[in-house]
Amino acid sequence: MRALLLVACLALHTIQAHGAPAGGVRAGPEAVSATAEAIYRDAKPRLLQIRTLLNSASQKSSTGSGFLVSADGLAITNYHVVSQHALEPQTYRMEYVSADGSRGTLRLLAFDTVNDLALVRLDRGGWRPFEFDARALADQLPRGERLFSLGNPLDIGFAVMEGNYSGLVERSYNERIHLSGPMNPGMSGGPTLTTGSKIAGINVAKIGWGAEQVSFLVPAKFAAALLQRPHLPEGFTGREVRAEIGRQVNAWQAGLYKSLQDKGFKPTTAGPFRLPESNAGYFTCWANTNADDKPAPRARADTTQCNMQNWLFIAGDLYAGNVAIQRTHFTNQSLNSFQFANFVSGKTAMGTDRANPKRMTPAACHEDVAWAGAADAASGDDRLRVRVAWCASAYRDFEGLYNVSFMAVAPERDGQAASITVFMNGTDYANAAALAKRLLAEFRTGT
Amino acid sequence: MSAAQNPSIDPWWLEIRGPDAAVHTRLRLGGASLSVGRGYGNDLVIDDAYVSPAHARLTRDDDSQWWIEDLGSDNGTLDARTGAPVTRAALFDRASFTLGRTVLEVRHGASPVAPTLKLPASTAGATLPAAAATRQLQTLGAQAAALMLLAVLLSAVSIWMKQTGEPKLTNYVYGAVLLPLMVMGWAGAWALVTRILTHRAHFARHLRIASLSLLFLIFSEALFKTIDYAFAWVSASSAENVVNWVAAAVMITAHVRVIVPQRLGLIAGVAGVLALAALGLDMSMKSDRLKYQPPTIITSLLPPVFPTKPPVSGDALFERIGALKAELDEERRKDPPAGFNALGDSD
Repeated sequence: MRALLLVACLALHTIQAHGAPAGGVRAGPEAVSATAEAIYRDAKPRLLQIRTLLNSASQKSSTGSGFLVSADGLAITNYHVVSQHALEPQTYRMEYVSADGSRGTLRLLAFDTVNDLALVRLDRGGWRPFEFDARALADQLPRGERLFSLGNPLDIGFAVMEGNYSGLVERSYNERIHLSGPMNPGMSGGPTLTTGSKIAGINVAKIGWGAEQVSFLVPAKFAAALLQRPHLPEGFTGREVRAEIGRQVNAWQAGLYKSLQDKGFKPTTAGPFRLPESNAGYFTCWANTNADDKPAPRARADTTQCNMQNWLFIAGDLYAGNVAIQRTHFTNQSLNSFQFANFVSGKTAMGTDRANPKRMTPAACHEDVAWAGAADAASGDDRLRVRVAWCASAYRDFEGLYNVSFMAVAPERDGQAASITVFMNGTDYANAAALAKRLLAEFRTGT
Repeated sequence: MSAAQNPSIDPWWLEIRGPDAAVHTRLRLGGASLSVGRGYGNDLVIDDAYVSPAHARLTRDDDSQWWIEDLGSDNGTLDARTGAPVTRAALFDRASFTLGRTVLEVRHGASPVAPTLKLPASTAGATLPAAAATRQLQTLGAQAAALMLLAVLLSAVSIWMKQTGEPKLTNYVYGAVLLPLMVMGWAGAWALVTRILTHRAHFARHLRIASLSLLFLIFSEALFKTIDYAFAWVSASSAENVVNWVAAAVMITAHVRVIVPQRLGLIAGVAGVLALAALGLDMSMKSDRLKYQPPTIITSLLPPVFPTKPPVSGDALFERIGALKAELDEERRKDPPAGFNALGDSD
């Protein structure tokens, strides 16, 4: 499933860092307008490069950007920029480099995993902070407004990039601003400013491939809210951070699953079957078929894959908070019953994520034969007998979070079969079971 | 002197048995006396290192009664039934004596023999033992070939059932050519070992065992697939694995029995232990590897005419699914497998 993750985070990890030329290089000066130049000059002293260092080696492990929000040294960045330090404070520490080259240490005060934000305190005060744009806090920026993203791309020096406000991302459960403009690795956590040099949002991600100049910002209001959160204790442990992440993700997914249930499902036709599709607006559906395969297939499999574009970054190898629902309509063309059953079997193996034993327990699975359709309509010949499978594994480091896959396959009827699969990442067990149960109840025959 | 010269006299026979109790020589007693020993001056020379050069003498008295007397041998002449030393004793039907490690048994002309065995009707015409053996071998060979043919046919059916794309000739060639070659190669290897150890190859017997084993594999695959489908049994493939290893033990036992017909229990035991060890190794390797791979289930769908267990209601299903949570939470408390570190727990 992760192959479909289009959104690339912008933290720059050592492995991606290219040899930086000595001295800062200003990126793309020819494209930068006079306003941008003024904004850049004004913003530069308040920008930070945030580095995560391996304690033992004192070498950069990853870099991102940040910006000051108070005179006494409070700064905002992305959670994913500081996640290594947050999860393993004994192994990683953080430092900042400001535009004048001064360095210092950082302390993590609070974070918001769901909105990918972190609040840090610098070891010294006396800064001129950024202010939040009042219209941005009220979600009232006009579409098309020019915005300026700042940060330290690719660890080669601070830069400004110009773009346009394109509203909130429509198909996203979490609020994200769509910025039509470029963004590069290393700019994560940097500010995107209005022409008045006020904060409109925080750089977080861009579409990794297949699109140009589609970038995402965390709305400024979440950064403002983060300032109000209680702070982590001094000398916090990785265990405390993990517990906090668990609480945040859990509270967030409770809202997501409630929304999924409340929005409900509409039936889609698959031959004699009716398969549910979520009414929630934050799914993007893609259809694909094997009909064009060469040599021509002897049975058709038409799949519609509905994904949430949203993933919550937890660690470099751990993402959560996604739901993907896939439904397939199988049509027999020239196979016999045995061959068609084998054809369907071959497409129903529940391959979920790549194995990640460090983060996840082995899966516990249950396979059964069950009645699909609503329980109250459970009578008559039209009841649908389906084969179901459930596999779940627990997050080792985060209590109460699981990855779950659930699948129901209806056997051949009039030369056709159907299946529905749901993959739920970073979910509460009961919420996942309730959603799976709902999908099973909405899987019907077409009457 | 030969008894043929005195046809009027009741014939007496002397059977000379070796340490293996098999009759090596039968001698019709004739004349008035017969000397027995290892020396070449005797009437009956016995190649037994425990027999004295001049060991015993058999004599016939005027009443035509035969006697045996020890000639002062080193190890003596013993009554084979009681073990008592004999200096001189009268011979009677079924009397037997031990000289060294050789047994002399006496048979009278009227001594009863076991009833004649009936030849099977089909082989009634075959009087020559060699012909019977050839015929038996042919039957065995035909059986083995038929079983192999059946296995090849069934595997072709199995390949056909799984054919969901365009038919590929190579798949069937594999079944029709490679499979018999593999089976014959396996049987041939066993036959070679058998030939080395027993001077006979018994290829047909080995081929029959190998073909039967292949048939069993095909059968067990279909059986477990049907069971998996009917009962939604996630562990069906593990059970199939266990059964196949047991079948492997049975097959090895059968092959070894061709070489060593005795000590069935011992061979079966050794084969069983080997198969168990292989199974254990197989499972432990698999469990480490497979535990963390994405689960592949619902792999054995069959046409809807095949019966399944009665479906459960959604409520009952999710009650069972809910019970898995405790299992996962328990697993969470355990350490991840070696080679994978959790987040630093030093704090």
